Amino acid sequence: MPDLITHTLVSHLLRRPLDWRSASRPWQGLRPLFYLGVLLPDILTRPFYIIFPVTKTWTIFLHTPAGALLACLLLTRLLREDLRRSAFFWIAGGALTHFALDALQKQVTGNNFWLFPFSWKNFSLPLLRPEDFMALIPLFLGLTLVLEAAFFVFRRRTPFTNR
Amino acid sequence: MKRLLQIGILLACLAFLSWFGHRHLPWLDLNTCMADPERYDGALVEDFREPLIAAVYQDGFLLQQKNGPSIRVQADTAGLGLRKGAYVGLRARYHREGYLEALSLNVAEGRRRKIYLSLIPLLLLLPLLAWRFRWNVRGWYLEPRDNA
Repeated sequence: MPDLITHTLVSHLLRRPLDWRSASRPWQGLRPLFYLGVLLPDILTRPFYIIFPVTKTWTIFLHTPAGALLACLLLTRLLREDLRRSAFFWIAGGALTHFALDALQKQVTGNNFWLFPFSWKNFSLPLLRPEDFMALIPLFLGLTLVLEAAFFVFRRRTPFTNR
Repeated sequence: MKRLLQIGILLACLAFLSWFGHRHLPWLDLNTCMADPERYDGALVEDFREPLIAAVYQDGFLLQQKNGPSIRVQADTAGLGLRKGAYVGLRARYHREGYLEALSLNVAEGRRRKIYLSLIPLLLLLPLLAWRFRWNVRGWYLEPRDNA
C-alpha cells in the first residue's frame, strides 16, 4: 500500500473541494474523523504485523472494506449519539479513499479483498509501486498548497460563514 | 446499556471475521510447508513473515523471515537489484529438498522509509483529534470541543 503521507494528501485533495460551499455546516466540525478513516485500515493492521509478523493472517480482515466499516461503526459508538451518523460517513469516506488508492498499487500478492468474507478475489488496477508513490509526494504536496492558496484567496473575497 | 451491547456485538463480529480470515486465507505460508516438506512439495507459497534478503548468491538469495526460519530461494537475480537487508515480495514454489523456486519477485525498495514516513501523519492526527474532541466522563462518550 502507499505510504500514509500519500494517503493523507490524496484524500485531502479529494475531500477539500467539498468545503468550498459547505464549510459552515455543523457536521464539518467532524472533519478530522475523515483523516482518521484515511489512516484507519493501516492503523488497525500494520503496527501489529510489522512488530509481530505472526499476527499478519489475523489482521488481514481488518484491511478490507468490511473490516474497516465494522471498525468505523465501533468507533462511532464512542461518540455522542447525535454525532454518530455524520461521524460514520466521515470515517467510512476516509477509509474508502484509502482502499481506492491501495488498489492502484502493484503487488506480488493481493491486498485488496473488497468482497471479503464472501470472496478472496483481489481487486486492483496495478499502476504504481510503493516507491513511485513516495516519489510523487512532492507533487501531491504542491497540489495541496495550490488548493489551500486558492481557498485562502477565495475566503478573503467571500467569507465562508456567509455562504 | 444498549450502546455497550452494540460495542460487544461489533467486537464479536470483528473477532469472528479476523478468525475467519486467518482460517480461510487462500495463501500457503512458508512455515506450514517447512513443517511438512513431503506434503507440500511443489506447493505455491505466497505468505511470508516480513521477508528480507540475508545473503545474495549468483543463482538466488537467502530469505530470512522475522521470527521464522530462513530458506534458500532460487531466482534469476539479474537486473533485480537484490541486496542484503532489502525486503522482498515473493511468490514461490516450495521444494521438499528445502528451497524455494521464485515465480515472481519484487524488491520492496524504501520499505523502511515508507514505514517511517507513515508515522508523520499519524503523529499529526493524534494531537489534532485531541484538540478537536474531548472525553465526556459523565456521558462516557467523545464530543467536539468548542473549537471544532
